[in-house]
Amino acid sequence: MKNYTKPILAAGLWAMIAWLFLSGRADGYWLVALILWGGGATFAFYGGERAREYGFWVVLGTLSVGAWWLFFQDRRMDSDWILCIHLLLGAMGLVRLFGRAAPAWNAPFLLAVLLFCLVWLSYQESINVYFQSVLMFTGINIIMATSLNLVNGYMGEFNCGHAGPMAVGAYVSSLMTVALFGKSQVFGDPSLSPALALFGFPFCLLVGMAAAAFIGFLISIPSFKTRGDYLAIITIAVSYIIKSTIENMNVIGGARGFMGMGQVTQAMDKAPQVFGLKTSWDLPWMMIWVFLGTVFSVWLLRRFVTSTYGKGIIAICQDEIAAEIMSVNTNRMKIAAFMLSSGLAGLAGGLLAHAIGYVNPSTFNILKSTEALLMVYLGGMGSLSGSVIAAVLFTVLVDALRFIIPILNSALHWAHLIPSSYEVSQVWKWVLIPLLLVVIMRWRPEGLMGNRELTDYFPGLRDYFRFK
Amino acid sequence: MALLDVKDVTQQFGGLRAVSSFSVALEERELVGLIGPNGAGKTTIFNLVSGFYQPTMGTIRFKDQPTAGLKPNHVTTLGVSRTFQNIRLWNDMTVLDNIRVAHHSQLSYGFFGCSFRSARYRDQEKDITANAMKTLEALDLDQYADEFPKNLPYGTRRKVEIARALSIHPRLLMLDEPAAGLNTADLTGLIDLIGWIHKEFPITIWMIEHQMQVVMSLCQRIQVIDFGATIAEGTPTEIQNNPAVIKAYLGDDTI
Ligand SMILES: Nc1ncnc2c1ncn2[C@@H]1O[C@H](COP(=O)(O)OP(=O)(O)OP(=O)(O)O)[C@@H](O)[C@H]1O
Ligand SMILES: [Mg+2]
Repeated sequence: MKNYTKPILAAGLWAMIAWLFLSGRADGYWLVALILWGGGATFAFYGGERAREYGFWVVLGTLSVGAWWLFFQDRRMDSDWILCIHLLLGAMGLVRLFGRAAPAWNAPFLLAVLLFCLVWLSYQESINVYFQSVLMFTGINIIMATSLNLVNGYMGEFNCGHAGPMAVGAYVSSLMTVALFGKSQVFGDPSLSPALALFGFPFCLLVGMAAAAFIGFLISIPSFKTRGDYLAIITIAVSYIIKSTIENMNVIGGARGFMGMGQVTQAMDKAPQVFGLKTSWDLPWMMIWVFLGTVFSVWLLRRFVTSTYGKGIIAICQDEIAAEIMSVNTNRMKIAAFMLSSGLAGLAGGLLAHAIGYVNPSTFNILKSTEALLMVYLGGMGSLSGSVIAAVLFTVLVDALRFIIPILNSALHWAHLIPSSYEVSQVWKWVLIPLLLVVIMRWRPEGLMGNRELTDYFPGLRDYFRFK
Repeated sequence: MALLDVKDVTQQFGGLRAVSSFSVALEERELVGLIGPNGAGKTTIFNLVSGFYQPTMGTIRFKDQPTAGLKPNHVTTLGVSRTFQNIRLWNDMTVLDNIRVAHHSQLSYGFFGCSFRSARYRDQEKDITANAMKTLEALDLDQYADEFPKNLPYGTRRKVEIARALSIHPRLLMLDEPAAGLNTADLTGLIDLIGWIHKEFPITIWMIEHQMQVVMSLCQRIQVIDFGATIAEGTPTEIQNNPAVIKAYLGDDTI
């Protein structure tokens, strides 16, 4: 079979460059930089033997030169971006040169540099609040997709109610942080000093995760004997029970939702007071937590599925009878998989609730579960890197549709394909996205990655991180 | 004391009595055959011994310990291991992983061990991998370690399944029609392999097989069942000339 990865990536890259220019988002100076970057990447793809040797440094070089070029052309790129781009490039160069000495530390090192860059850019307001929230949703979606992949991809069950444990995690952690560190009608004054919010928050998240994992435990019990469609219905039922239970608990806001987490996330900045300082750090704390939560989830799942212990669930997926008779305590492994998956969904829920500052039971409806399913199938069943990529693509796509739909609307009007009285509104988002799922299932049913990892397609990436 | 002692075991599936009052005693290091016409209940007997079904009546003792109520993975840890009539390998896992996962019930670390890569985790994973590679080398399968079973020829898959069963050092190895679907060249290879395993490892082999060539050349004694009940027992030559066996296989021609 021919490998289409490179041509597709290269075509996508140049299409994006063309689009940026044609839509007026990039002026002539930007175009120069973009062509430089595109050229570097294309060389890395198609330079053959020479690219294998120099491709990496050519890409690094073109990125750096392009960035400086933009910097000197009327500061089209500000100095913070220059700093961060070079930090990242430098970190990659270091890993490339010396990474083999301590391979286990490459990924943590690169992630630490990335986190620093994100925090720095937010702190300097080089990336605005809107872009920060897109980054946070990306992280939360990554947790959602990778954790669901454990059950639907690796174990081969069909969980359609991932939003259920997410809601539990969101509510439990939110109720806890607000009770401990925030002022609210339900709980009155904070029971602990808000200055402790920063340190108490991960603990509250953990409690939310534990509560969500308990829901996973409950779902796993029918899964001992029930498989396929029947289990899918049970998972939907559980998520509905959770949603309606919350809707009917008026103490915590019922269907109106629960808020007050905004003050908690703001209070995190008061942490220096604990050390007797009066200053505030003014850091984007929620972004940091989401980043750490995302890394933690992928790290934990990766360790699970690469161990012989975790591979027990892959055995259940591929032949449950053989797994049961040959060695695997299938019931115990199902409990473990459902609890881990749901627990991490609870983490995603807790982070989501604090990122947007309020929770509402309708956030966790069937649409949320469907989004998670969509990302898993887009990325590929049983591929962690696939789920990560799919979550990024999905979040970007959902956001891009905000801009694409008006363009589509005017294009259709221009071509007189729809009556002039009708406007294509954002409602069509939820037609276009499911349509995407149909297209994927038709053309690449195994998803972008199949059940393989990114490093299987690009072995060179193993220098930076190992997914297997 | 017999290694495996099955006494008066009956298995009822609704109205169907798949196994009725079946008894057998296997001694250490024996190589015993179990034959019978299609649907006689042979595989069901293996499933009972594996702990996959709980017998309707009767007792099964392994190493003098009753296995009633034990889950199959627990029975495996006691030292019972098997292959399946229609190969049941995990097809999207490498051959090496197939064998590693067979050690699942022996793992002494759990979720937290694998999350934090505890010392016990690292030691055990290393041991398991070494043991798996050793088994593959012994059966001359090491060149397939990173292949997926689905891409291997049929005969090799049979062999990998035997390697998987053997890798956990069982005391009793149950082979369910190991020769099914093999060509003549593979067949002689299989006979040699089973003979070699029996000689090389301190193991009892219990084998269901239709191919008379395999049963006759390997088994020390054979038990014949029909409709879930034993109809004959003896050495290969005795069985070959037993009228009850011939009748079970060829049908009752008195009609
Ligand atoms: N789980 C089950 N539920 C109901 N009936 C079953 C079950 N398993 C087996 N049987 C029935 O029990 C009888 C014995 O089946 P078994 O598979 O043990 O036969 P066998 O001797 O292995 O035959 P073969 O040579 O075809 O493999 C058959 O009639 C079969 O249909
Ligand atoms: Mg059978």
